[in-house]
Amino acid sequence: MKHLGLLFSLIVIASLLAACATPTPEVVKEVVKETVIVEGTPQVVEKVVTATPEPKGGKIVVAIGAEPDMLYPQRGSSSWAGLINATLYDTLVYIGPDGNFQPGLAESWEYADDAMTYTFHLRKDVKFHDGTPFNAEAVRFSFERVMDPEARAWAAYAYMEAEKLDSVEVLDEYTVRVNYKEPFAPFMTAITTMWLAPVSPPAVEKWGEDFGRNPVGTGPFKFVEWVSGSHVTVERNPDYKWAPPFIENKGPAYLEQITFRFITDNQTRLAALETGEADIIESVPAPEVPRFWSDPGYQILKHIPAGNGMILQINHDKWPGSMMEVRQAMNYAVNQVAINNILYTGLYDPAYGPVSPTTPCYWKGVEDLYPHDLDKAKQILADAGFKDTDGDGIVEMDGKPLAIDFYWNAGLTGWTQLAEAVQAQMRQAGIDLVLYGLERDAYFSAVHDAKQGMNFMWYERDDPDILRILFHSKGAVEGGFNRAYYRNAEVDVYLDKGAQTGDLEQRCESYYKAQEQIMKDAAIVPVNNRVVFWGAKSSLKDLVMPKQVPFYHDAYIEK
Amino acid sequence: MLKVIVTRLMAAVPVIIGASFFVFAMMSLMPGDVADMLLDEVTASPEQKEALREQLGLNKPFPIRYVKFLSGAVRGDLGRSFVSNRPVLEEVMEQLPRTIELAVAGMTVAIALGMTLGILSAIRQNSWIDTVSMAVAMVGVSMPIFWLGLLLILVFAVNLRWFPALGQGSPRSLVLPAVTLGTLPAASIARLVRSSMLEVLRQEYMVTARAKGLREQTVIVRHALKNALIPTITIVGLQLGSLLSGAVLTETIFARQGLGQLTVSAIVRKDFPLVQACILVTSIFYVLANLLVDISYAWFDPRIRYE
Repeated sequence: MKHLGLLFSLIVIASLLAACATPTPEVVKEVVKETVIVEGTPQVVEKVVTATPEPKGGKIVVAIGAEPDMLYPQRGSSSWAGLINATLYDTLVYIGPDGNFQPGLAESWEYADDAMTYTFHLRKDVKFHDGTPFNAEAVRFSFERVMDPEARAWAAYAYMEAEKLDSVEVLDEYTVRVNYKEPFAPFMTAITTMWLAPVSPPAVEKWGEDFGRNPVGTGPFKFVEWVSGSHVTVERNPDYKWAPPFIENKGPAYLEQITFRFITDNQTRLAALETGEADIIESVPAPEVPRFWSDPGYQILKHIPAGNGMILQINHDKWPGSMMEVRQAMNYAVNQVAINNILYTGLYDPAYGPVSPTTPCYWKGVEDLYPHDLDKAKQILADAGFKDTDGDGIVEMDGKPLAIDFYWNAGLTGWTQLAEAVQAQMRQAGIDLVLYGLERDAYFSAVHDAKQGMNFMWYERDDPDILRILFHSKGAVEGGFNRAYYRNAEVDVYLDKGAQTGDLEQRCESYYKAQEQIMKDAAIVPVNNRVVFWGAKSSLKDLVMPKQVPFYHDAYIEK
Repeated sequence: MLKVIVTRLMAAVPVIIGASFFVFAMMSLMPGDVADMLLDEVTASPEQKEALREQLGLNKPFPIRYVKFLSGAVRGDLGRSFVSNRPVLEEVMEQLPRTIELAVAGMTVAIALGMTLGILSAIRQNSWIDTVSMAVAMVGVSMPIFWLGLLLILVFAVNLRWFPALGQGSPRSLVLPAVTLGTLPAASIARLVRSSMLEVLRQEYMVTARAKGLREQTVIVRHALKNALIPTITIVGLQLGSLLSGAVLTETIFARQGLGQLTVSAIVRKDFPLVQACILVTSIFYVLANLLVDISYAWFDPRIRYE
């Protein structure tokens, strides 16, 4: 019986200790049974002891594929800047794992159907890393700075189409209103990107041009150092008191430190994960994924980004791409499933429309429009007047072979393989793709002068408005992104309407129609949607990846 | 001797200016637009791209831009990077310690390996040692650096875990990059040392040295080797210059900081000011390497001492 008292005291003491645990990190109580020989007696008793295991924590190395240009979120336009910024900054609104808008630094928000006015009610308990309180004034400062040409905030300017912005008003200390001169519905999506993450006004004043190397945000991690050509290090922000709804840990992060190491070579990055020098790496190539997937020592995180994957834009201003029959035949001739299986071990996502399935307002109907049918492709060409008169496998019309100049940026890994695969498939229908895999600058030069008969296009974006950027006739100009030079007035109307309607359901109505018409016109040939793969050690627990970048708020290293 | 050094340094100035002008001209002629490049991932409008070009001074004619660059350079201000906006001199200086570290380590491997193989082959000419050494040298010269580096990582880092895969952060992490970088120069040095030694060993004063009763080791090192080294030094000097400025493949594979990867990435990104700074530093390295070579000649060979 006296052992019961001892047992009871132990439990009480342990509970008190657990209750008084320091705010960071979280202490998880475990109940452990011990078998003990009681002193002085031949009795063997089972004692129940509450043990406090080591707190969650750890320092990790994240291997990324390139060095960012800068960590000023409004300007730093490279995706690698975005990766690191996700630890240093928060956004007003987040897109959660379910694809819906979730509260971030803004607890709630309203906007009217006219998509011109957006009001955000901000959290009151947030501070920047330098102690400055986060409030409506900070948001106004961050957004208005985008308009200042000195700040060169290109990324933010483009995303929020700041030329249409009228003003940013501070209604009270924690309420801010953004006013547009004309309706701009994609603003809600823009505000979920790192490009519109609030920055600390005093820090920007202090650092000026050098703020990009000395970032100050509100995020769960603070900037420590940036060694050029080597790494960026961030450490836990002990004053972090909240988190978006899809994150469980509503307090400071468990991880003490994250080092983002730049490793450009794919093979070296993989080697670093295998040797343990990196705890998590980005961009695991699809063929390498299966061996990590089946290895219990590792985990794979995957995500299909929104926007458009790899599609082929066919130049409507050049023959033979200008003929709808040719483009339709190409859509029947391409076999997306085969390409996926052969080039990507079946791990990518075959694409049948201009945007990926994770894009809001994706129209499922595109999947049925052009089933792979080689005979139909040949038939369409024959009906249009193409015939193989010289027996070389390529059809001709009036002596001109059906040949399209295919330009792409050969500097990007894997695109050449994809181009060759598509070429092989087209050949089976009698279509000749003349390959021009150019070095990046030469490619951009050629495309600038509209030399291409067709090219790859790949633009990830979380808003269906990407359709307007790629398919509206206004984009069919020098320097624009409508490199197919597709001009359809009806589609223009749908795309404009989609950008100007606040209500998401109504926006989707417009975008469904746009996608249907774009595919019926065979403006493009979709090939596949990229899948983002991150590889990590299994001991790195509780990574959350709602989109293509992992969040580390909940993460820790299990010992 | 001092006069030699000063003359050489003065002669270097037009070389460096010439190199910088040449690079400036090349960059301007290359296809591709800086604004397109910098704004690649963002859907920036043509107006925004034009504004960026204005801001970076890219619309001004070539002579004006070059003069602006020169006048800044003379005052020590080489401008700011288009991409990171930091002073380019700072960016270059940051990479120097790691660059020099790798170059010295690589050169050490090259000289140690190369000289050993070269001397051995020469004194045991036509024996199996000679054949094997020269075969090794041939393989070394033919091996693509990329392939060698990845192979070393696979075998020694991933499989054997003897060395880290990432080539920076500890003395051990320097080994694989040094071996990767030093293999090619080692092969060249081996072949050169061998042929120079063979020539020297046939000289009459070698017979004299042996006739004097000197130990074979003294004969080889003090008499043969010293004379054989003169052509070798030239090559070593040039290789050192190239290692200091362009170990980009090794740096990329082993994720090391360095002037090589900085230069290449600046060229690819069309970051004019940074390219200029990198080339400037590279030219200076080559000049210094050549100067070192000339001084070593004088030290090694008393016949080559200028008045």
